[in-house]
Amino acid sequence: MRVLVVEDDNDLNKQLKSALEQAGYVVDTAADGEEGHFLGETEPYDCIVLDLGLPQLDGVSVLTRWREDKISTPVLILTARDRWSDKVSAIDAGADDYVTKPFHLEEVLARVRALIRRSAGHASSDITVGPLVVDTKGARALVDGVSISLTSHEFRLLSYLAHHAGKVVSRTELIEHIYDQDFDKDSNTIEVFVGRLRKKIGVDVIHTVRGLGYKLDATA
Amino acid sequence: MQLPSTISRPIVSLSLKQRVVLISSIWCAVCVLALGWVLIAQHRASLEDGLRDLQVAQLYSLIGSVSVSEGGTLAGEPNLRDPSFLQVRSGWFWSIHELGNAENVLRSRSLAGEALPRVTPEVVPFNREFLRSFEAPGPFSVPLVVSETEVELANDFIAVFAVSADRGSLDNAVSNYTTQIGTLLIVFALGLIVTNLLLLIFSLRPLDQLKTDIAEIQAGERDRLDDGFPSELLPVTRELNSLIENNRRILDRSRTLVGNLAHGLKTPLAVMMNSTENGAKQNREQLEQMNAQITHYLNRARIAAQHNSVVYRTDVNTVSERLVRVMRKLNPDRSVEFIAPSQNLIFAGEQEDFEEMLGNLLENALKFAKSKTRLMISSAHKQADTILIKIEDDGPGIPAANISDATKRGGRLDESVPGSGLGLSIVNDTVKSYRGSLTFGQSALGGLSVDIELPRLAD
Repeated sequence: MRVLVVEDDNDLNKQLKSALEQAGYVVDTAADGEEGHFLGETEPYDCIVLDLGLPQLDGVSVLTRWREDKISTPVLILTARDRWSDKVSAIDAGADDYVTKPFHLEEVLARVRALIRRSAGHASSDITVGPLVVDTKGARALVDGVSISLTSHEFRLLSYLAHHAGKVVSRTELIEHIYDQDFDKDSNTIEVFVGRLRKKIGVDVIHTVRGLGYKLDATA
Repeated sequence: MQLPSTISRPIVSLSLKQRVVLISSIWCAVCVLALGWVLIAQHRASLEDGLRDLQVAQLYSLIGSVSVSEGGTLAGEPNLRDPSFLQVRSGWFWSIHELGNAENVLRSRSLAGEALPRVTPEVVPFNREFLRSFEAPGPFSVPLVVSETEVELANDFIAVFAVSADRGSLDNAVSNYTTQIGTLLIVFALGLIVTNLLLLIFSLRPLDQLKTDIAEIQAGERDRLDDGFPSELLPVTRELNSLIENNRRILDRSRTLVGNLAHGLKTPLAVMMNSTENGAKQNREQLEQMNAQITHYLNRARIAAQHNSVVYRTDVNTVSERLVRVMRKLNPDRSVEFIAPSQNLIFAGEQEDFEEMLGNLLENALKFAKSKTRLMISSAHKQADTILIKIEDDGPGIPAANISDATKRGGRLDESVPGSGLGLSIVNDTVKSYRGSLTFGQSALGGLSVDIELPRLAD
C-alpha cells in the first residue's frame, strides 16, 4: 500500500513517514502544496495524509484540485485549526477523514488503515480469502489460524492483493502500489515475491491470469 | 438637591414622519381658519358698505323726487326702480314723513301702510352728513337695515327720509360666501397636507432605505451600506460602513491570529508528543496538559472576540444539515437521524459558534454510540425566542454522579476513545456566552441525551 504524506513541518513529516513505513506502507513525502498536488496527481496512492496549513498552496486548494481532476484517493486531513468550520470546509472539499493536531501517530495509522479498507469496500480490518486471513491492523497473515512469517515487502504485496481480492491486479499496478516512485519498474522482483508468497502460504489462493496479472481468490 | 435619576421622555414616542405631519397639519388648520375668518369678515364689511352706499343713493333719489305742496303736504311719486319696493313684506321699504307730523307721510307700496321702525337720535346719532344707519325689527317681523336722513324741504318744513333693506338677504349672501370660501379653503388645506405628506415620504425615503439596509446587514444578507444615499446622510453611512468594516476586520484578525497561534503551537506539540512515544510517560502527560491548556485559552480568546461583533443570524436547519452530512461521511457505519421542523429557525449568533457546539456534541455522540444517533431541532413551546437542540445516542450514557465532570475542562469520562476531553467544555463555554443552557439526561435510544437551548431570532 502506497501512502503520500504532505506536511511542511520537517520533523512531523519524518515521524509520519517512519511510523507509516513501520506499519508496512510505502511512503512518499512532499513538503509544500505544489509538490504534494503534483505527486497526488501523477502517482497512484492508496491514501494521502494532507496537512491543511501548507506553503505555496494550502491543503484545501490542493484537495479541491485533486477532486476536480477526478482523483478519488482517500484523503486524511491533518489540521491544527480544530474549529468545525475548518473541518466542514475540508470534508466538503472532498476529504474523507481528519485528525487534529497534536495527535498520536497510532491514531493517524488507525485512520489511514480504516480509509484504505473502506475505499476497498471492506468493513473489517481482517480480510478473509478462504483459509487465508490478512490482519491489516496487526500487519500479519494467518492460514487456517496459524500465523505465517512474512517480510515487509511480502506483506505489502499480499495486503494489496487482499484489499483487491477477487479482482485482477496487474504487475504494473502492484509495482506502483508497493514500491515508491524511484523503483525500477522493469525488474522481475514481483514475480519473485509472488513465488515466495505462494510457497509460504501453502494454499492455492494467488492465481496468475495470463497476460493480465494476479488475482487473490479462494475459488478460482 | 437631588437630581432625577432618569430623563423623562414623552409617553407617546412619535416617528419623525408623524411629528412633521402633526405639526404641519395643525399649522395648516390654524392658517386656513384665520384666513377664512378674515375673508368672511372682509366680505361682510364690503357687503354692508355697499348696502349703505346704495341706501344713501336711494335716499338722494327720494329727496330729489318729492316736494312740499302749497297746502304743506308732501307731494311726489318717488320711483326707486327696484321692484322689491313694490313687493309687500319684501323688507325693501322707503318712507318720507314730516318731522313732528307722522300723518304727513309718503310710503313705498311694499310697506302696505305700515310704519318703518324709528329710534331716537340719542340712541343712534346722525353723522356729519346728517345720515344715520341702524338695524331694527321692521313690520311683518322682517329684520331691517335702515338708513335715515332729515332734510329741510321748505321753510320750517323738515322731512325725514328713510330706506330699509332686508337684513336676512345680506346674511344669506354672507352665508353663501362662507360656504363657498370654506369649501375652497378645506380643499386647499387637504391639498397642502397631502403635498406635505408626499414631500415627507419622498425626502425621508433614504432613511427608510437606510433602515432596510441595516436590517439586511444584521441578517447577513449584505456586507455594507451603498454609497447612493443623499449628501446629508453620506457622512453617517460612511461612518457606519467603516464601523462595520472595522468590527469585521478585528474579528477576522483575531480569528486568524488564534488560528495561526494554534497552528504554530500544535504542530511542534505533535512532534514532541510523538518523539516521546516510547520514552517518558510523564513527558507525554505534561504535553497533553499543555495541549489542553492551549486549546482552552485559544477557544476563550475566540469567544471573547465574538462578544464585540455585530449581530449575526445563523440558519439552524441549513448548518445542521451540512454537519449531519459531514458526520455521515465520517462515520459510514453509524446512522445519524436528523429531525428538523419545516419552519426555518434562526439562531441569534455566529455560524462558527453554532457549528462548534453542534459539531462537538455530534462527534461525542457518534464516538460513544453503538450504532444510532439522533439530532432533533425544535422551537421551545413556552418561550418563542428559544431553539431546543437534542442530541441522543444509544451508547453507555453518563452516570448521574459524573455528569458535572463532563463539562470540566480536560475532564474525560472514558479514556478508551480518542480525544482531549475538551469538546463538552467548549460547548459549555459557548452556550454560556449566548446565555443558553446545557443539560444531560437519559435518551430514549438508551444512551446519553444532551439538550441545549439557544436564543432564537424572528424569521
